[in-house]
Amino acid sequence: MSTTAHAPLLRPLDRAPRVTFARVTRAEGTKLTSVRSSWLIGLLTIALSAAAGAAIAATEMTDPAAALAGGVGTSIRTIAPAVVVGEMFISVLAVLFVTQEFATGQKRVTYAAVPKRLPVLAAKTIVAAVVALILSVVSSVAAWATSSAVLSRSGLRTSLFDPAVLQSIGASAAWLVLLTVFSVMIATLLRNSAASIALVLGVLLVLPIAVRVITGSSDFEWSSLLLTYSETTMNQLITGTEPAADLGRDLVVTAAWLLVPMAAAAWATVRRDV
Amino acid sequence: MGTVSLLRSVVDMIEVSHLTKRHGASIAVDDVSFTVAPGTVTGFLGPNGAGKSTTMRIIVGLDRPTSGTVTINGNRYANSPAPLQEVGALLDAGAVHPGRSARNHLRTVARTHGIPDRRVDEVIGLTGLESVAHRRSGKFSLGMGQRLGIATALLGDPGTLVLDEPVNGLDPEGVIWVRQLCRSLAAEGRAVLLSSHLMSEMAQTADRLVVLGRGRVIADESIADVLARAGGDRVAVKTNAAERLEELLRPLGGTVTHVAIDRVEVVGLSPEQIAGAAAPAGVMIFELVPVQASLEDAFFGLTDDSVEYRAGSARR
Repeated sequence: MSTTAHAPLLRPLDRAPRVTFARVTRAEGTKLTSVRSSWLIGLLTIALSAAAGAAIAATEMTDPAAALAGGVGTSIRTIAPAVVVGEMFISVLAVLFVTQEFATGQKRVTYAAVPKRLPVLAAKTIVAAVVALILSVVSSVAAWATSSAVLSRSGLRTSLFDPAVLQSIGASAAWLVLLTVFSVMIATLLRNSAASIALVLGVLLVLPIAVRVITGSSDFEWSSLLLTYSETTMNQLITGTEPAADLGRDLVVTAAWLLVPMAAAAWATVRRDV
Repeated sequence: MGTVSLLRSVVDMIEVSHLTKRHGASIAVDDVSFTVAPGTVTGFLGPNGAGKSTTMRIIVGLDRPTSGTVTINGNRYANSPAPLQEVGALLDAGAVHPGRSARNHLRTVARTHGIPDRRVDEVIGLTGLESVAHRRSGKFSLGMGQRLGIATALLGDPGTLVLDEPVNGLDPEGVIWVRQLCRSLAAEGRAVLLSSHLMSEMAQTADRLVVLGRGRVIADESIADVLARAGGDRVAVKTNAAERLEELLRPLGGTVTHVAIDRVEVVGLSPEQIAGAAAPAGVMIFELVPVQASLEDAFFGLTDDSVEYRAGSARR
């Protein structure tokens, strides 16, 4: 086994490889786009939002005169609920984005490449948030498009660039981004897709009902501690109907709902064996 | 084992020092220390559950040790600016998203380091995956999955390779390919740590062996030394007078084991000495064959007490 002059197995690169946060983020983006199911979920979200917009517009159209009289408000009433579709699918997409790596063991490959680990969590969160933002806006526009087509039969015409419409779309997008970050953190902690989806949807759908039932009707103090409260206050915040005193409390509550899981997820990421 | 190639400018080695890993009350890795030297292939052997995979995971920072350190070229793995250039690891070939194509899987790893697609295509070529590069990895056979895992390990052109059972599921051609690949990598000056259950392959691929049993190092020597442990050279003899031969050989220092009515195994004497003792006494010899210990025998001899999981029957 003496040295012979043979070509090296791999040609050296022009620049030495190096891990940077931008590159880790780019890799996470590639992970999301290189899988068919991500695209399917995205398309489904947009399609169902459009369908929901049309459906709600149809119910509004049972009284065309009232619909026309409602003006922009009618339009917003038809596109805002599409965010519920987004809640379901985008949170699931965010959860799967995290948990599939644990399920397949791919996480070990990822952490072997980026042993500092926290950049991976941050990069995943950013990629998921950006995708949620894009999906939310596109879904809202799709819902607006179909509902406008239906509502136009009453003579109602609203512009997509009407300030009220834009505010509604913006608030929905902001809410879905928050929910996505929450989903990513929960999924990082639980590592299991079924448990994570159950917890996120439970917080979204079941918890508000449970709180209302347990504390008796709409007890303001208790319901304000919910993550979903942030959704409604965000809408009100943007349309300017929220009293300033509540704003402080709502920001604190929203921050807690995000920061506590973030801290826990960061700790778990660094400390746990993979 | 010959001169180390100077194709690589950095001297690469893994140093494991007093590594211990506990899970609650049980110990997975118990005060393990060894070195994987550059330019050599170090075989990592041990029964299932001996702690080989845990040790390998600790080397690349996936598990945190209870105590002890692992350094790659003197630094901790996590502190490297380009970890994939330090260590290329194959720990679990199935660790791929089934919906992703092989090429995209490699790209998601390559991009973390800014490694260009050119290198991705290069490792695909090196591991023979060109024809299936765009196929979804969920559809891969076991062998193709292994090749993809090896391709992933090579992405960073690493100075050290840590391969956990790389020949698992490969056909005979693939097994030889891995052997040649490991030897080529070592010839380039890299340090290769390779675990396997395929003894015959290990004997031909590795220069040194580190044997683990119940989390402890029970041997850390060259292949030749491990084989010598298995009882040195024996000679198989076929004869017409086994007992007479035994009487003749015992005073000369030979230990004789009767294997069959006309066959014995002699330890401690050369074939020449045996023939020399038998001929004048009129004992006829029909076969006189030196038998070299196999790595399997050596392995079983070393680890018999350390086997963690053993099937019920057939105790020797």
